Amino acid sequence: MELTFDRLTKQFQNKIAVDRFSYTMTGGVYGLLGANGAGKTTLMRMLCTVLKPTGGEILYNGSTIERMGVAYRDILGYLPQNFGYYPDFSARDFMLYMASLKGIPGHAAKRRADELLHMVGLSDVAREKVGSFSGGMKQRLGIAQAVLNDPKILVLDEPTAGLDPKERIRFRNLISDLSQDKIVVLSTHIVSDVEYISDQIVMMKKGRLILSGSPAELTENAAGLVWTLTVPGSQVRLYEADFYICNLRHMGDMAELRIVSEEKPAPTAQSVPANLEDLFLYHFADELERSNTHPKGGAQQ
Amino acid sequence: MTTLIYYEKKKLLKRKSTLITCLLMVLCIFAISLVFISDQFWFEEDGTELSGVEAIRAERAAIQAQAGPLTQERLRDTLRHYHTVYGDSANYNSAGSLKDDVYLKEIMPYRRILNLLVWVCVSDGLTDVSALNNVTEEMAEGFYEIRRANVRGLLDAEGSGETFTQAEKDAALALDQQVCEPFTYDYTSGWRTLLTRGFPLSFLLIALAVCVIISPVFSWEYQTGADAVVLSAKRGRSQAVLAKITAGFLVTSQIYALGVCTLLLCVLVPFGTGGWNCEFQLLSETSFYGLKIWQVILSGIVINYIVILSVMAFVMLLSAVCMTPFAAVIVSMFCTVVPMFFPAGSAGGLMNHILALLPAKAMETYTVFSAYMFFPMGKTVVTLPYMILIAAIALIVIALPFAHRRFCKHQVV
Repeated sequence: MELTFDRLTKQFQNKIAVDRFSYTMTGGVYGLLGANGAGKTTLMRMLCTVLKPTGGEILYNGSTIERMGVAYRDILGYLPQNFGYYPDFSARDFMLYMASLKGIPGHAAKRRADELLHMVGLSDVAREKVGSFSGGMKQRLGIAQAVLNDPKILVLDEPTAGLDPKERIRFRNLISDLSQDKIVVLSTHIVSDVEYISDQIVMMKKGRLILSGSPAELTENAAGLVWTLTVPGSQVRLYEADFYICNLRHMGDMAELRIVSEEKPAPTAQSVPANLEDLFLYHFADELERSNTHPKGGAQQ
Repeated sequence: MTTLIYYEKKKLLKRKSTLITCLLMVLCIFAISLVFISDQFWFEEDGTELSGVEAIRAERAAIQAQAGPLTQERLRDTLRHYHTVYGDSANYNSAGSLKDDVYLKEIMPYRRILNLLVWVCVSDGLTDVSALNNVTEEMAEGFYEIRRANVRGLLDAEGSGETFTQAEKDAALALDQQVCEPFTYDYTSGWRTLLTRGFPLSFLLIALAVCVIISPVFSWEYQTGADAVVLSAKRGRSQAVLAKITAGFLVTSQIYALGVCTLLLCVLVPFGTGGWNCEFQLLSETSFYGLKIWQVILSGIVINYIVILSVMAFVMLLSAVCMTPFAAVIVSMFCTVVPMFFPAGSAGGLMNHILALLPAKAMETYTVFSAYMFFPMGKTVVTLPYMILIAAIALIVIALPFAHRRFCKHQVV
């Protein structure tokens, strides 16, 4: 099982959304990480055949997915970013409709739909209208429909967006459970969502692949980039102006700063092991600044 | 496939807009039928004015008492009776007009037959019964010959707009040969109301309902964002699209059946079904189609069904192109309604021919079976009802594959 992106490109008029993206995925969970507008969703849409690339191709086990057509879509499960649902359908109706779309015959469809609704904790509300569901319930229904056909490739675009922390944890566990013998491609801009469940992290910036590897490899490679420093509270602003501060903790008159910098920010600063969030900030701080219209120090998310 | 069709149908029927539209359509048809009924009036011999259902009952009873073949002798005798009544000075009041009681007793019951005589035998455009003063009994006896001559005259007329080729004239005259003579006379007000007033309004309402109900077929997927899920599914670009089209067809048929049944019930229950076997020429004397009233009604229902399906196909195409159901509704309603306001005759022959094929005009069954309009196709002359069918089927055949293709090629951006 191998999914290869070969110089995949998508251009919208003057904007290049995905720029010569090349990468190969085998089994496991792949966390696609990038700031908003990095090209994650466009890449996923091309992967799900709902958007045509301008250049390059995607190959599954050596065959282009475009040529595979129905055979490819048969092994695909997709939860889009803005998951469309039919408010007048009950959850069970929606699952049965999706099962029919995926070519699952009647009896098996009913069994599978009930099984998955139970799995995502919606069996109690299976006959209620989807329009009355909360955001988390809709997302759970979304993932249930995505895995109806037991796909080999499961694409989840921002599956945790809009969920509360409890729902997010539940969702992450659900994805882990479902990821056996599959290629799961999961996009997010929330680092903690992918940190624990991803086997591989793929970082995108301005449509390009900038970094990839396991979470451990990536954080190891980032050694020497993260520092902690305790300074008087009055000096915090000075450091905010010059460095990316990924964490700030006030302790009385003093403040403990966690700084991402290639250079040692102060003689008293101590190097600490990096985590994915530090790495994310290191690569995307400029973009986060732009999207948040905050000064450097505001890029603490 | 059956499951897909079931759910696609459910998607359309479960929408609130669908329920509201169907309800409005039925209520509007019911309301216009009430207007048709309240418009009816009749005077009893004692001068009592009746209206609504009572007028319908009284007129029906009066006319059904005379029901039967409208022979030359009968036409002559009716005209003779008219001349006798109008020729007797004792029947006039001091103002020189026919006395009311005489009119109500002697003329009113024969009014429909006298009107037929006026329309056929008086050629200078007069429509009042008093024009019969100049019509002779010989002319009344030659009623059917004069009618045929009028048809020939309309075909031969030059300088009044359209001129017809010899092939077109031959085709029309050949059809006119099939008109049954003598006509059967009976109470036909219900059918007249249905054809001249009920059909144009009701079928337009049905067409508009179809615009509203069918417009979400594809565009609803775009608007909700479900397009990504549908198009990435195994059957999303094949059976799902066919299921959508089939569901649209089934829902359109249901709306059509609902509209037609409501109209027929609302009109025929009060007016009755009498006169169904009369010649269409009782309602449109110069029509050259040799059809009974029931045949025209049935043909109208079939033709309008195909026209409504063509509206459905057009709406589906718009639905596949537009990003929201609202845009599809507005554009399709605009395209359906606007041709109604193009004045006939002012736009030249070709334009008139095109307009006649558009839904707003094509659904006016009475006009369609009364109009002198032909479409040459090679050596064959096609009459308006057939051409409407051909145009509607052509639109269906063209629009649906385009809609199918457009949805399949849709890019989720």
